[in-house]
Amino acid sequence: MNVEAVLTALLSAAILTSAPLLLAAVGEAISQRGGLLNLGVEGSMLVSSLGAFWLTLETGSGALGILLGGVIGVLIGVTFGVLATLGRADQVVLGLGVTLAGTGGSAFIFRERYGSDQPLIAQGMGRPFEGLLDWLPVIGPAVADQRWFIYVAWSLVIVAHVMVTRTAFGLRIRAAGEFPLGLEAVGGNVGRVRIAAAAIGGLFSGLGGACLSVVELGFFSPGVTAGVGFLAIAVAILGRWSPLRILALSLLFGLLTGLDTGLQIASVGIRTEFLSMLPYAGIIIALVAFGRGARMPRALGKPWTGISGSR
Amino acid sequence: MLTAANIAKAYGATRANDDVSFEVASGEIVGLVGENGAGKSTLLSILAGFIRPDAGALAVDGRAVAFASPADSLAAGIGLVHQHLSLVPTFTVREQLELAGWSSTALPETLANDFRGNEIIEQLSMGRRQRVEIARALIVEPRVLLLDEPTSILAPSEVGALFGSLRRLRESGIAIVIVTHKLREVMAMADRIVVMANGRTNGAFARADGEWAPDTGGEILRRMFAWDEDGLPPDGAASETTVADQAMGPPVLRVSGLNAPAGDGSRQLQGVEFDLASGCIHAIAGIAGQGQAELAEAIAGYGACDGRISLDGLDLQPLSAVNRAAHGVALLVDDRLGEAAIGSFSLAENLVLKRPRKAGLGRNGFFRRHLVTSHAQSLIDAWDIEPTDPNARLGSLSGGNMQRVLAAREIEREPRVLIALNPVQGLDVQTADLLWRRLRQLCNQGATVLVFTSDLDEAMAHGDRCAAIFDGRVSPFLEPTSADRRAFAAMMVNGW
Amino acid sequence: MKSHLAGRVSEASVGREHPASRLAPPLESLLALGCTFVISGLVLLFTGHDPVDAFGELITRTLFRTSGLQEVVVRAVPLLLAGLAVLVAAEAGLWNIGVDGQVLVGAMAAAVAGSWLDAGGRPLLWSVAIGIGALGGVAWMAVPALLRMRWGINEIVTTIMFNYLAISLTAWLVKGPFRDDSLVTPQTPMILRELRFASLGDTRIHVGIFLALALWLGIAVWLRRSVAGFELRAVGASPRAARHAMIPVAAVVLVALLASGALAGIAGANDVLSTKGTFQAEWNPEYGLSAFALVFLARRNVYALLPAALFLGVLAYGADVMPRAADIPPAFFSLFEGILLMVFAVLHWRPWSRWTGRSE
Repeated sequence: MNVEAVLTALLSAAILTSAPLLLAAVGEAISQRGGLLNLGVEGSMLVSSLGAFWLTLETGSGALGILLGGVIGVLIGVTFGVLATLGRADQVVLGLGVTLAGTGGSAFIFRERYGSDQPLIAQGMGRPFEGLLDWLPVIGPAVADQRWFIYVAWSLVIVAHVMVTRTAFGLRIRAAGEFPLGLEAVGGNVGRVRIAAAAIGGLFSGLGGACLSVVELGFFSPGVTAGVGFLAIAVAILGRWSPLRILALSLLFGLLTGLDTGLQIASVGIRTEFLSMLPYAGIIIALVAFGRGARMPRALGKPWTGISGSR
Repeated sequence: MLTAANIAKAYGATRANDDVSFEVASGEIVGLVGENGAGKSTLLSILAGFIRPDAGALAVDGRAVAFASPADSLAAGIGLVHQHLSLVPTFTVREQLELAGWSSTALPETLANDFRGNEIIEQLSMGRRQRVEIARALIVEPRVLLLDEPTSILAPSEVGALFGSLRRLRESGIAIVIVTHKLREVMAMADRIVVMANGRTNGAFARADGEWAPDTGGEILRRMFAWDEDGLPPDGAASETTVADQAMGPPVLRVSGLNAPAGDGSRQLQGVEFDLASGCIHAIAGIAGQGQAELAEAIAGYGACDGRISLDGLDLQPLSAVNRAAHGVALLVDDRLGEAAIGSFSLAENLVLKRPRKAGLGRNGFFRRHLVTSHAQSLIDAWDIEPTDPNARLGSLSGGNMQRVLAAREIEREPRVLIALNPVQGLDVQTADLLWRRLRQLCNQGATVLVFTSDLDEAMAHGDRCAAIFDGRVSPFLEPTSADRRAFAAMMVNGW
Repeated sequence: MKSHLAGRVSEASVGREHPASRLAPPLESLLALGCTFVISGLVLLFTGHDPVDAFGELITRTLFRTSGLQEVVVRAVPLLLAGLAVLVAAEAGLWNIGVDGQVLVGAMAAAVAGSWLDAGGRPLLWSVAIGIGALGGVAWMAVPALLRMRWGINEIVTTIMFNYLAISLTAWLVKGPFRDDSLVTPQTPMILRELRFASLGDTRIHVGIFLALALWLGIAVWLRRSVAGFELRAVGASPRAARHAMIPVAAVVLVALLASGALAGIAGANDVLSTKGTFQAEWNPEYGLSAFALVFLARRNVYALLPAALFLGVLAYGADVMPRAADIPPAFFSLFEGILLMVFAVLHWRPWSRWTGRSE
C-alpha cells in the first residue's frame, strides 16, 4: 500500500516535471529537422516563462498566461529563423546570443518589476480527469490526476508527431533540413519553411517555459529553467527528432530526477549533489550508446545560400 | 511554346550568355550542345528560374514571363531534371513524390511497374533515381521539360531506357530540351540541335524528313569548338602534336589487380591494371563519375583498396598518404576550393599547405616567414601568377591562377608520379598551355604523369598513351596515333 | 558555370572569413558595439532608466577612477583566459561550450592542490596549482574530445552536459571529501593570503595578469607562426582541404579541444589563486558565454582579444557597481552581452543588398 503510494507519487511527479523538457525538446526537434540548430531554447524558455508568470499573476488566468508564453516563444522563434535564414547568421553564435540575452533580459525585467519580492501564483490549475482512473493502480491516478495543461502538452506532442511524419508540411520541413535543393526543386522556399519550423519550435519552447512557471512551480525566479533548455537540445538529438521517442525519454528523465529526489529523502547516505549528476551522466552515456549511429539532418546548422550560391 | 529572346548574363567580365535567343515547340526534342563553359548551363538556370538574366525576355505560349524563383518557373509549366538530381536522399520514393505534390495512393504510371514506393532514394541505382527525378518533374504536368546532362550519371545500359521514355513524353506533346555535350547521343535523340559557344548561339540544325544532312556531326563539332572552316582550332592551341616517337622509359608506377568496393556515393574499382612509364604523359579519358577520383585517391593513399601498387619497385600499399607523398606521389585534384586549397588562406599559406613540416621553411616547429614568402614569390614568378602578392587571399584569384598555384605546389616537389584530375577543365587557354608544358617538362625529367580528363580530344592531343575509364575499369593503354578516335569514344560510353 | 545548378550549401564553420566582409574588422566591432549600446539603451529607456546617465555612470566608475580601472583589469584576466579557450577551439572549427564546467573543475583542482601545498614557497605553489588547474580543465574536456574524435559525437551537446555534471561534481566534492570542516560554509581550505598571487604595488591588480598576458602572446604566436597552429587553422577553415593536405585532422581536433580545456582550467585556477583563495560550493563565475561574446567582439582575431577582454571587464565590473550606482540590476549586463552576440551573428546581413544587386 505504501509502496503503491510512493510509486504513484513518483510517476505523477515525473509526468509533471518532465513536461517543460518535453515541450522544449519537441520544439527543438522540429527546428532541427528543418535544419536550424537553435541553441537559444534556454533564453526563449526563460522569457516566455516570465511573460506567462506575469500575465497569470495579473489576470489570475493560467490559460491566458500560457498563451502569452506561447506567443513570446513564437516571436523569439521567428526572430531566430529570420536572422538565421535571411540574415545568414551563424546559428551557434545567434543561439548563444539569444540564450544570454534571454537569461539576462528575463532576470533584468523580473528585478525591475518585482524587486526582491517573490510573488506566487495563488490558485492552481484544474485537474479535469481527477479520480477517473483510480481503479487502475499507480498509473491510473498518476495519469488522470494531472492539471489540464499536461493533457494539452501531450496532445500537442502527438499533433507534432503526426505533423512531422504524416503531413506534406512535415515533408517540407524535413526536406529543408536534409537536402534544401530538393525543396527548391519542387517550388518550395527553403527560407520560409525554415522560418516556419523555427516558429513552431519557438511555440513549443515558449509553452515549455510557461508550463514551468505557471503549471509546475507557481513562481518565477531568474534562471529558473536551470538548464532545461540545454537539456532539451540533447534530448531532441537523443530521441532522433521523433516527438514520441522524445516523450518517452523525457518521462525517463523525469523518473530519474524523481528517483534522485526520492533517494535523497530516503537518505541512503549518498550526497544529493552526487545523485543530481545521474540524469546528466545518463544522457551522456545514452549519447555514446545510441547517439553514435545517429545521423543528424544533413543540412543542420548550414545556411542555405540559394541554388546559385555565390559564384 | 517556350521562347527566350536576347538573353544576356554576365559575371564580372565574363559574358556567360551574350544575346542568346532560343525556342522550343510542343512535341519537339531540342538538343542544346556546347563544350564546358559555352553558356548552356547559364541559359538553363535562367529558364528554370534559378538566376535572373541581366537582359532579355522569356515567353511561354506567347505570354511574357519573368521568373524570380524556381517556383515561378515551375508554375509557368517548366520542369527541370537536375544533372545530379534534386531528390532528398533520405526520403522514400513515395515521400519524395508527395513532397513534389503527388497525392494519389498509387505511384505514377511511369514508376508503378518497377517501384514499390518504400525504397530509400539513396539506396537506388543512379538510373532508377533518375527515373524518380523525371517522374517528380512530371507531377506538375509541365509543358516544357528541361534535362541537364541527363546521361552523365547513367550507365550506358540505362541510356536507352531514358531515351525511350523521352520519346514517349514527346508523343504526349511535351516540349523537351536536353542540355549536353555528348554529340552522338543528342543526334540520336533530338529533332533539332542548337549549338552554343562562348556564351552565344553558334548555329542551329534540324532534321529534314527525319534525317540529318550529311556531315551535320562534323559541322556541329566545328561550331561547338568555334573552329574555322577547315576544321582547325582558331589558335592552334589544342592541336599541339604529340611527340609520337617519345622514348618510353621503364615503368615507374605499376598497378595491378586494384579493386575497391563502392562507398557512399563512390564508384567501385574493378581489376584496374596498368604500368606508367617514365617520361610519358598518360591520359585516361572518361565521362564524369566513372571512378576517376576513386582511382586517383587509391593510388595517392587516401582510400583503402585491394591489389598491388608499386612505385619504382617499392610496394606502396602499406604506406599512408603522407609517406606515399614523401616517396614522390603527387595528386592534383579538380575541386580547387573545396578540397585542394583554402580560399581564406593566403597564396603563400596554400603553397605550404601540403606537408608544411617537410617544406624546409621552418625551424623548431615554427615557420620562418621570410622563407615562406620568398618560396611563394619564386613560385609566383615561375608560374606567372596574378596577383603577385604572396599574401593575397587565394579565394580572390581567378580559376586559372588558382590552378597555377596548385599545380606549382605539386610540381615543385619534383614528384616521381603526378596524378591530375581534369587539370585544365574550364581554364583559360594560356593556363592550359602552361600546364601542359610543365607536365611535359616533368616527364622529361624522368617522372611519369597520369591525367584523367573527360575530354577525349585533349587526351589524344596531349597523352603519349591513352586509355579509357568506364564503370570503374580502365582499358589498356594505347598510343593515340595507332588508335582510332572512334574506338576510344566507343570505349568511353560503352566499355569494351 | 557548372556550379549554377549544383546548389551550394556553405558550411557554417567558425574558422572562416565571411566573403561579404567589407569594413575593416575593428570598424565592424565598433559598429556592432554601437548597435548594442543603442538597443540596450532602448531597453533601459523603456524600463524607466536614463540610458545616457546609466552608460555615463558606467564609464565614469570603471574608466575614470583608479579603483575602477584596477577592478576592470582584474576582471579582464580570467575573461581573457576563457576567451583564449574559446578561440583555440574556434580556430579549429570547434565549439567549446563547456568552458563553465572546465573553469569549475580547474578551479577546484587548483584550490585543493594549493591548500595541500602550503609549504614550499609561492613560485612552486603557483606553478603546481596552475598546472593542476590546467589538468582539471583537460580532464573535463577529455571525454567530449574523445567522443568527438572517436565517434564524431557533436562536442556542442557533450560539453553542455559536462557543464551540469561539473556543477554537481564540484558541489559534491566540496561538501564531501575536500571540505574544510573547520569552516561553516562548504569550501576547500583557504590558501593563505601570503601564498596567493602577489599584488602589483598597492593596487588590486595581481600577477595573474602576467600569466594571462604570457599565455595570450604564446597562443597568438603559436596560432599565427607555428606549423601546428597553421595546421589547426587549416582544419578549422576546411576539414576537407586539411585531409587532402594530409594533416592528421583527428589529432588536431583532439589537441585543440584539450588545449581549450586547459586554458579554461587555468582561468579557474587564476580566480582561486588570486581573489578567491578557495573553492566554495555554489560559486560559478559563468565565463563561458561571455567568452563567446569576447571572441566575436575581437572578430576572432587573437591580438584583438586583449582590448575586447578589457571591455568585457568593464561590463563585469559594471555588473558589480551599477546596482548601487544607478539601480540597474546586474542581469542587464548579460542582456548586453547577449545582444552583442546576436548583433555579431548578423553583422554581415545587408538587407538592402537585395534591391541594390547581388550581395556578394
